Amino acid sequence: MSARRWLANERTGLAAAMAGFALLAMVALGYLAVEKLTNSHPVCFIVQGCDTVQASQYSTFLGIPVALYGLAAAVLSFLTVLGWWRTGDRRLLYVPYTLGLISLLVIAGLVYLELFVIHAICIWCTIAGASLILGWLVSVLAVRRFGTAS
Amino acid sequence: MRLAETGRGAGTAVERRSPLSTNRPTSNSAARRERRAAQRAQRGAPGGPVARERRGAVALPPALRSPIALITIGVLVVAAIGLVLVLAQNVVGGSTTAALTAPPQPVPAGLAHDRSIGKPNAPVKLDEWEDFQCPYCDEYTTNIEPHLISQYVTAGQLAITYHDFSFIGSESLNAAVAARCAGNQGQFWAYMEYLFANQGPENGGTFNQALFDKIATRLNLNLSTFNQCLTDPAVASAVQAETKQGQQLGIQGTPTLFINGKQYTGALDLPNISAAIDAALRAAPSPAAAPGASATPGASATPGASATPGAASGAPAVAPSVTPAAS
Repeated sequence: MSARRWLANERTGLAAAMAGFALLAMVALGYLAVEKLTNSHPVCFIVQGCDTVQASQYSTFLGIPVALYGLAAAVLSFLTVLGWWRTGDRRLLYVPYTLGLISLLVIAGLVYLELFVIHAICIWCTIAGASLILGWLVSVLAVRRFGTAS
Repeated sequence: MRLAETGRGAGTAVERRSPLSTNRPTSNSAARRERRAAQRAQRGAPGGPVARERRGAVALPPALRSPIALITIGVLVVAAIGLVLVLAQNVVGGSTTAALTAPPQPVPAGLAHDRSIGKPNAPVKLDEWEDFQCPYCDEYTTNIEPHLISQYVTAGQLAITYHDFSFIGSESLNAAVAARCAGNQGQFWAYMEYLFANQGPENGGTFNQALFDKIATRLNLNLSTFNQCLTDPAVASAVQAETKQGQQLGIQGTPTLFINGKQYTGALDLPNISAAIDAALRAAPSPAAAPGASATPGASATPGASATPGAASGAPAVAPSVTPAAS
C-alpha cells in the first residue's frame, strides 16, 4: 500500500470515528432538546435522574435549552469532519477540535452540577457528553497527524 | 606566431574556459544563493536570531505557536475568565439565589410544622385559603401575617394553617406543588413565604422551575428529592382536591380566612383581623381546658359561620373585601 493511500485511509478512519461520535451526540442531544422544548419527560434507563436534570434551572442557558447548544456543536463538528474528509483541508480540523475542547469544559461543569448540586444523573446527558469527549480525543489524534503543514 | 599562438592559445583558453565560464559562475552563485537563503531562513526562522529580535527577549517555543496551541490556550483563557466571573458573581451575590427576594422576616424556629405554624393546642385556629398568584394573598402574607405570628403565634395563642385554593392558573398549581414538596422536607412555611415574596404578574411565567429551584437551593433542600416530588402527579392531585374542598366550603376568592371555623368577613387589615382573633381568644376555652385541640384544617374551617371583628378600626385595608375579583 502506498504512503498516500495509507494516509487517505487513516484520514477516513479518523473522520469516520469523529463523525460517528458526533452522530451519537446528535441523537442524544436532539432527543433531550425535543423533550425539553415539548416539556415532555425523557425516558430514563440505567439511572433515574433525567427528569430531575431536565427540570433543573441549569438545563437552560439564556432561555435556550443547553441540549440545543450541544446539538449545534455536534452538527457543526459533524459537517466540518465531513468537509475535512472530502477535501483534506487541515484547517477544517480546527473546528471539531475547538468545539470539542469547549464541550469538554462545559461537560465538566455540568457533571459537577449533576453530582453536587442537582444530585441526579441524566443518562442521555452522559451519553452525549461521553460522545463529545471521545470525538474530541479523536480530533486530537487527527490534529496531531494531519493538523500541521507538511 | 605569437599572435597566432596567443590567439590560438587564447582561443583554446576561451574554448577551454568556455564551459567553465558558463557553468562554474552559475554553480557558485546558486550555491551562494542557497547558503544565503539558508542563513536567512535560520535567522528569520521561529526561534532564530531575527525572530528573537523581532519578538523581544522571550521567544515562544514552536509548539506554542501552532494554531492548535493558540486555539487551546484561547479556549482555556476564556474558560478561566468565565469561571472567575461566575465565582465572583456568586461571591458578590451570595450564591445562585442572588436574584431571590427574601421574605420580610424569617420563620420563628420550632413553630412551623407541616403546613401550619404555631402550637397545635393554641386556643385560636386560623385557617387561611390562598392562591400563590393572588396579589392580595401576597399583601396579607407579606404585611399582615408576620405581625400575627409575632403577636399571637409566638405567644402560643394562635395556630395558622395554610390551605391551597389554586384557581388562578397553572402557575398557581405548580407553586402549590412546589410548596408541598418543600413541606415534605419540613420547609413548607419558609418556602411559602419565599413564593409570595417573589410573586410576579399572574400567569406571567414567574413561578417557573428556575425560581422553584432557587428557593429550594436557598432553603438547602435536597434538590433531587424536591424535583422528583414536583413531577409526582399525586401532589398536584392533592392540591386540586383541597381546592375542590375549598369550593365546597363556599370559598369564592382568596385570601379567605377562617377563625376557629368561622369565616372572617371583615376588612383584610391587621387591626380588624387582630380584633377578630382577640374576640376568638376571649371566647375560647383556656388551653388547659382543651388540650386535645388541633389545627386540623378541614375540621375547623366550617362554612356558614362568620367571624366579623367586633372592634374594627379605621386603618386602611389591603383589599376592600374578599371576593373572587380580589384575586
